[in-house]
Amino acid sequence: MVEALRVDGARVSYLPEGGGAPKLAVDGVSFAVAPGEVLALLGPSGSGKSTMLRAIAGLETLDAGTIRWDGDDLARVPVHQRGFALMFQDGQLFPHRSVADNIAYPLVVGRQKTSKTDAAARVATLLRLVDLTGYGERRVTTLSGGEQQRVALARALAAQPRLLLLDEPLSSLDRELRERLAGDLREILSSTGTTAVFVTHDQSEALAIADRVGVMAAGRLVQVGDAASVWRHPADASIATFLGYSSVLEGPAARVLGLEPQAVALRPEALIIDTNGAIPGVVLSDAPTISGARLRVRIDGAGTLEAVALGEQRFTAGHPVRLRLDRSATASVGTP
Amino acid sequence: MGDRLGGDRHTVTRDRVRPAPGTTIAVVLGAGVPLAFVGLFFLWPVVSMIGRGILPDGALDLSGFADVLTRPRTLRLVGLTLGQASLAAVITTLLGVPVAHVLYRLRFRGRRVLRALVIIPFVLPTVVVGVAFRTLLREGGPLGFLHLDGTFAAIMLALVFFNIAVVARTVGSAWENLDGRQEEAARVLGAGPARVFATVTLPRLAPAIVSAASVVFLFCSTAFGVVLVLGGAKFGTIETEIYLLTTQFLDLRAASVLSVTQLVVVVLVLLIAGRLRVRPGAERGTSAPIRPTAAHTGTIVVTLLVAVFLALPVVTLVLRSLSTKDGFGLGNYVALGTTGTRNALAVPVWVALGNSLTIALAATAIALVIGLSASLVISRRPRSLGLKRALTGLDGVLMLPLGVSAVTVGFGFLIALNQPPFDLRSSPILVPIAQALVAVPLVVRTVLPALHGIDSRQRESAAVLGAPPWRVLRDVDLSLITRPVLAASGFAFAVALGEFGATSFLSRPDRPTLPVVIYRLIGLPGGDNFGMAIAASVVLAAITVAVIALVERLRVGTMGVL
Repeated sequence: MVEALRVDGARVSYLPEGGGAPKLAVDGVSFAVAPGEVLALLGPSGSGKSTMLRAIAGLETLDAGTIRWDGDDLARVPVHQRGFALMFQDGQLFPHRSVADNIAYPLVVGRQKTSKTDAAARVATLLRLVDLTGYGERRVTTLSGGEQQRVALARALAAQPRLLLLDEPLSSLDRELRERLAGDLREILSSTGTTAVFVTHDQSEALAIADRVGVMAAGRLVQVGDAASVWRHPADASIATFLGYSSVLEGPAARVLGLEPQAVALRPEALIIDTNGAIPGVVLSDAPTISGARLRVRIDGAGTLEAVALGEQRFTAGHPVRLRLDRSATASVGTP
Repeated sequence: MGDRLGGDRHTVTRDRVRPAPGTTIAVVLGAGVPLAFVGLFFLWPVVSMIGRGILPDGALDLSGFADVLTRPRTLRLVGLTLGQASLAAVITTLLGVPVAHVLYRLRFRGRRVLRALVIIPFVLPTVVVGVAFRTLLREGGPLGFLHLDGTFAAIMLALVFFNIAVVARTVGSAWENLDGRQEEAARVLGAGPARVFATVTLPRLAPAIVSAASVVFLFCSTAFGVVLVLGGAKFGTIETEIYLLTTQFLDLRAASVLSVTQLVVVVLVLLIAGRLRVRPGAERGTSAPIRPTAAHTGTIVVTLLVAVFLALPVVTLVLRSLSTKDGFGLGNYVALGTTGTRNALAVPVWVALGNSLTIALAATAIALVIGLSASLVISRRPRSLGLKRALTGLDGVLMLPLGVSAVTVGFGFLIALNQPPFDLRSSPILVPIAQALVAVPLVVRTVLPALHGIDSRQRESAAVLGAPPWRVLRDVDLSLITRPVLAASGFAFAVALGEFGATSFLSRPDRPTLPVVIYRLIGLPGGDNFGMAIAASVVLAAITVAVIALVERLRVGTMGVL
């Protein structure tokens, strides 16, 4: 693979507030990003993903390991000379500057000196790109959260970064807006051919935006691969759980459901109530959802599992049911 | 999920911030200037002064302490200082808390204006307050029938007058930020208003109240101008005694011993106060001010009485300045163009005002340079624990002049800076430097919270977008603190303008400042002199109030100690 960014054995520690021994936030992480590729670092909070991103930006120093760009070690390159851009979760727009001045900021401080007219033209182009034409003279404090994130994205792109770093770029927005912006972001990144690393705790966001996904847990990169394969083959049970699988079965328990004895992860939708189903079970509880109900069922030999019911029918606890397995909602764990 | 995320982000920004490249160099350089300034103009004079006290002939000799501290007069003054400061702190707190309640928790027209007005006494030059109370209380004055002139009660009134603002503002802003839902919860659970106050509100206000009271204690125990003007021969503080010992009795050794004693007391109080100090924004509530009801009659009445008490000396001063032997008129102001009856002054009062303005401007400039560079350095969060501790230390050292009396500073200058290599005694720069020393802590206390309030990711954003460190400083730090810096300048200017303790030691006879001239005029009553002193006080007060009014319009969160 042609590599733009290469991280090798990165380790970052920090002193916990209130003293004590240093703690490892990032513990021996290695990965590479190809030119034009978008990599998502996915992990729960505290997994070290943001720290990894900040280390790439140069905002954290590595205790061990290297970060290279095009083969050059970045250890001695200060933040402002790396040619990257970082977009924070809440944008961090400069409140004392207008929208246009925020976007033009990298052009005036920048590595490449830009004339006033060129800068204005570039700002206009970027505003159009993020769908905010005419917003240039607005104060950033008057913008909605979604608009602020768009301006932050435009500002980061204005730097024409070799690498765009995004720290939970959509997490501060409400769901509907988040889903819409995720699509826009994907489109803007691919249309500008931007190489990007972005950090998120949201599985659907990672799926929607990234070419490849790296899963982080407790400071380590536990799995990395293209998005579809990560979901199809989570490396272990805890990754599977984090990726949204509700349970992992192995051996005899898997056999009860008619599966191979290798470990397998199930989404709730994997088990569907069906009078013609082959698997007997007993309902423990049910909660209505938009499309039917979500149930907890006990299946002899397999334990307590999640299942779904389609339609209006409600179930009381203790009610015997039959279930069928939908293999498209399962994934083999550990075996690629 | 949202909460967990917030926590995550918080840890990332606060705990593991990598300094921008070159931070160490910048910290060393930026800390160097303020340190050199404080070292040369504060620590060295203070150390020299201590040396005078315990090393009179180059050998350690503590007999001076035994000798001076056992004098009945000294014992009486130390007792008086502590008693006076304690009593003033208690009275001020008892009156200030109801005022804080009314101004910060009740909703009525004009409360913003009242909040601004209540700080006027605090910023008035001490000499002006002294003159105002003399005018009010002396025989023939509006309250002359009380025969309080020259009594302990007069000093107490003036000290309380001065410091109500400290309590009202400190406690008030803490009160404003209390989450009102806790009170509502207590009410719903069956507690009456008094019980709610005692069991829910008061415990949460306690840190702010204690902090305000200790600041008041500190101010009162080092009070100088007011006590000198009102106390006469009978009453004084350690502070006035140091002044008298130096200027009247020329007993420098005894003065040193007293300065050291006072320094010890002040440092102790500062340490205690530091432990109790409320962190700004410790609690951020959302409770809206409430409409006054009958239940608030008590605090409203107290507040009205306090308002009258605060207004009375000021109004009296202004009225008295307009009354001349020939009835109402501007005679006293016209006389400011003269050197007074029997040539009491070396220069006309207007010239002294010019001196004051020039010197205060210079002092403001110095205080800004020192205070701003110190604040910028202190606001950094270096990674190494050693540097972190060093910055905390720098912060503490810069705060010392706030507590150490101005007279001690002035006296220290006289001792330390009159010989090579720093023979500055005849230099006109000495007065602004001394005033700047007093103003630096206020600049730091105003600017630093604003700098701390800047999200460090703002700086990181700028750096990642390609801004070199100096541009980050300019585009983020300095751009975001314009208003606090302006406010700090105004505050520093007002303080320098009214500074009397150090200035009285250092100003040269041919170049006196306005407070020095006022003190001289009331020392030589008769003829036009008292009237001139009052008119000059009104002028000085008017300028100070105008400056502070501009500062207030900037609406900066914290201002100095307020």
